[in-house]
Amino acid sequence: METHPHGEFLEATLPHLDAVFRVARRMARDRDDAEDLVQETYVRAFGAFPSFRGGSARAWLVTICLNVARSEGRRARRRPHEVPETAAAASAASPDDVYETVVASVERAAVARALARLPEEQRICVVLVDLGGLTAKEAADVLGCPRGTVLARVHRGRRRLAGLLEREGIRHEA
Amino acid sequence: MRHDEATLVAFLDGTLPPEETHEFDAHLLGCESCWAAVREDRAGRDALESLREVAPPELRERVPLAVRAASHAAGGNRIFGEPTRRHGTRTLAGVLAGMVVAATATGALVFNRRASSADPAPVAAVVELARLQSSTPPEEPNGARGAAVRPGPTLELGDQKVWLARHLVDGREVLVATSDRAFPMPADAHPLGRERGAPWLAKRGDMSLACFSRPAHMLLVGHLPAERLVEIGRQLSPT
Repeated sequence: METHPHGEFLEATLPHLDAVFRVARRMARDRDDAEDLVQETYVRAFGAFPSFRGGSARAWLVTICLNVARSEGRRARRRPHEVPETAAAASAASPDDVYETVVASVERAAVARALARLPEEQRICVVLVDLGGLTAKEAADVLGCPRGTVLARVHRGRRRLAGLLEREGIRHEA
Repeated sequence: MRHDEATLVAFLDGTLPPEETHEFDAHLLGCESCWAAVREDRAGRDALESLREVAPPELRERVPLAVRAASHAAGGNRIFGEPTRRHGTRTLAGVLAGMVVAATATGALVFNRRASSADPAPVAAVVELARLQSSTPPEEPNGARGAAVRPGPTLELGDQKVWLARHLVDGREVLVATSDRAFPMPADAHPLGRERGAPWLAKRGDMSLACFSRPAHMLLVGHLPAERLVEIGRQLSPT
């Protein structure tokens, strides 16, 4: 039977598509750019697959995603980072749905804006752990810093985020 | 009880030793600042839930297509297959030297590569993608005539841009590529007229190709008779 070279790769990596997309979404200027970033990540990862030594495929993909996002060529194509995320309401069936959709959308936009305002080192740790679903150890390996540092940055990032949201009148009761 | 961030973080992480965890629990009851820190940590984490989006379905389709295209362009099994796997990186590097695979900010799948066939690069790339997608059965085999199934990626071949769309015609998928400039005519193609820019037809294996230059540059590739592709091309052409 013919072995497809991409079959093994896709089997190992496609389960992490959501995680890579969430990370890409926070590294890219908008949704379209995030989708391009994910595609570029996968194509590059495929090229590097023969040298993948096993371990966490998710952490490996996220590392590639961060490298692609930071690459010179890509940066040159990006607009300035501070593009405000706007709340866009999807079409919904009933007035109640519309209300809920709008509220959720406004909240999501506020969270995204607050996240973008975190200091870079906190933001990246929060993105990797809370959105990318990496363990603190995996994030530490990706970033090349101690696990304890990641935990502290995630903690500070979450607190600061909660503070920023509270100032906007959006409160998430723990 | 220590009242520092390291202890608090270890407590939240669940890595504080059991005895210290009990102590910290007791400490929290009386320490307003530590309790506030725990509350804020959890509030921040909960707020981030709203950003835990799932990848859109189009991306879930587009990523494997891009990987398959890259795989095909890189020489398929000859590069990654089991017999040469151990030497894959070195071999791949040589192949990649003649090929650039990257995505652009406009959502394009870019692949500039050495044409492996005698076809001009834009034609070879569209045929290659049509061949790849034909191995995926259409999702809605409803036989719709000329109905677009979904838009595909954009290719950038040198400075030529090619927009792709998958159409379902007579229950078969047809890849329709439109471009900002003419598709070069392969040497073995049959022009349907003597004038410059006349449509041309060609065969590649069991696939037919039909290409138009007016009113738009459009190349159709699919497992249908060439004449059927011409009909479809005329239907799709803006008048």
